[in-house]
Amino acid sequence: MRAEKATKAYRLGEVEVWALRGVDLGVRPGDFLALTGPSGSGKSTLLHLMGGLHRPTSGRVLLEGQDISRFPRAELARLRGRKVGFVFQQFHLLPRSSAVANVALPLMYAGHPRQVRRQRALACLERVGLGPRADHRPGQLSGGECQRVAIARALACDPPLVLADEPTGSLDTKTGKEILQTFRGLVDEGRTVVVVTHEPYVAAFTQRQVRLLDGRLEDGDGTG
Amino acid sequence: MGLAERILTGLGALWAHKLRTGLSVLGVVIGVAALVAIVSMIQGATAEISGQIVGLGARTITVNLYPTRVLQAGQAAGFLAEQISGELRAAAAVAEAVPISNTSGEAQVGFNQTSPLRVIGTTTDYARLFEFWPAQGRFLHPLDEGKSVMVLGARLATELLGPGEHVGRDLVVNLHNETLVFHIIGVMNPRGSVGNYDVDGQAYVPISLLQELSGNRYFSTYILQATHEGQVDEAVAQIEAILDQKFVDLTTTTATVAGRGAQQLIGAIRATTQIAPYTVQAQRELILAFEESTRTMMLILGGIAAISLLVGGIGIMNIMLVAVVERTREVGIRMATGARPGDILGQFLFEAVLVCIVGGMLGLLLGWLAGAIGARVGDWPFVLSPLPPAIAIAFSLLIGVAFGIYPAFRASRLDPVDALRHE
Repeated sequence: MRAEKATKAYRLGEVEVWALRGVDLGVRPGDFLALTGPSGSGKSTLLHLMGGLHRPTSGRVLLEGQDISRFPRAELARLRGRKVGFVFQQFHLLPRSSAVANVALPLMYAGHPRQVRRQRALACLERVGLGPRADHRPGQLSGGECQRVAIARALACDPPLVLADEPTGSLDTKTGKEILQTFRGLVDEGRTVVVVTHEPYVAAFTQRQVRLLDGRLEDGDGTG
Repeated sequence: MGLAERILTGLGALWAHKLRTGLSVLGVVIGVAALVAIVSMIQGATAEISGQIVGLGARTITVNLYPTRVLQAGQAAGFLAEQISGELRAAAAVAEAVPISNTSGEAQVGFNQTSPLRVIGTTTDYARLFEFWPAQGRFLHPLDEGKSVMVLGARLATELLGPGEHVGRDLVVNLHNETLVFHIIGVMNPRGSVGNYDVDGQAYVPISLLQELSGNRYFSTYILQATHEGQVDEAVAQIEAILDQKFVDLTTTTATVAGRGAQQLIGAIRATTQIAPYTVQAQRELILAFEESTRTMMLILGGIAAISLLVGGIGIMNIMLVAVVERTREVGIRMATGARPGDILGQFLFEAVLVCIVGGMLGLLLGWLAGAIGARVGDWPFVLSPLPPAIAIAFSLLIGVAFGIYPAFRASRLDPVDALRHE
């Protein structure tokens, strides 16, 4: 995964806000990378660009050698479903669906038949230690359990890249560390994991840290 | 995603807001029910009335004469029913011509007890026209003309006199302020109603007698039959020629006026009086006119019902727009996990269509129920035709798609990141 001179501008009413002002960043397969920086530094925006949730205003984003920055929306959606797994601070689970149904969501959009979906979703829940709670709804689960459901969902389509936006932000430190252990397990399997965080203990847990400030990398070049 | 799964997902989302879903379903139910009820009632009423019109067959022609509209009473005396029907029957394209005159009276069935009686004045040909034969005794005969004899329809006989042999008995009837004793000469076999003629519930007397009693020898109705269906137009033309000639003969002393001259004279009479001295109505024209007016009625009422359906559709759109805003975060989650814009569009559109289909089905049942009640109240048959279900399905699909597409499109165009951040 690499970003080349990536910029991103938002419109906030009349005002144009530049969240990213030209970022060059390379991530190698198997990296465990932390994106840090103060709020508003553009770290979440960069993560969204990497996972195809956004298209850059200028510059390029390459994933597995493909330039995804001009992909049409439907193509980006396919890519998000199959190549990328997202984990968010607020978990973003469907509240009326069971854990297993939440995990099966990407499998549904990837077009797998129903039986395969349930099987694989259950396997992913086992993997994060939530097999017995598969039929609980998010409201019946603790924060840590919800986040593990979200991780299971991110893994459902077996993507090479897992992107986490403040995954420990809603959890206590102990639970947060357990989540980080889970991420390390994913890296050990050969997946690439990028974590956006402003918590030092999280950053310290990763192999590599990149710090953003005002939409730029602090050390200027992250191509590493 | 299979259809069953889409339905389950859609139902789940709708079930989460039962009241709201119920109200939007109701809008469609009312619209579809109104359409279905209107269509089924019109079809029922149509079946009833067209049964009456068609009853005698498409070769039937009805002639009404109003000679006193244009002639002096003395001249009009030339319009004796028997004479006219004989002349009409002589036309090449006419097979049958039967004069009919009807009135109502009262039959005395006990001391101080009377029963209403529908009396038809006609000739012996009536039985042949309606294929209607006596069970006891005989029908009217030319020798009965002017005599107080009566033939009873099967149901009438039973109602008035009970079962049994009635030929030879007398019946006291009040007709035109006179009390007459009728000698019963026959009771007919049951025939069922033919067109709008309730032949089993009437009494038959010689037409000359009735005309004498009423003092009206001039007004009469004739039922004619063309030799076959293709000859109806020909028969109408011949009848008009005969009647025109008859009026001309009676209004002019010079016998030389004929052909176009006669036509012009009749035209002048019609133009000045604004009243035709006779009308000739082919059953087929009546059927066409009736179908035309039915279509018009269907369009007007259907239009009103369609407007209520439109209102229901706007309700759906409103609800779906609210749902999209409320479920923005859900849309974000689905997009982040790989849902394409088309998937989101399909999901919301499917929900709107589902609401409409459910509403359409309930509306169909309710409309049928209303149609069945209408049929009972209006005393026409309840027609189960494929039109109402087709209307219900087509309109609910149409409304669902038409009013669901915009909210669904809005949902599909949401930016995933903005949608996820939505509170």
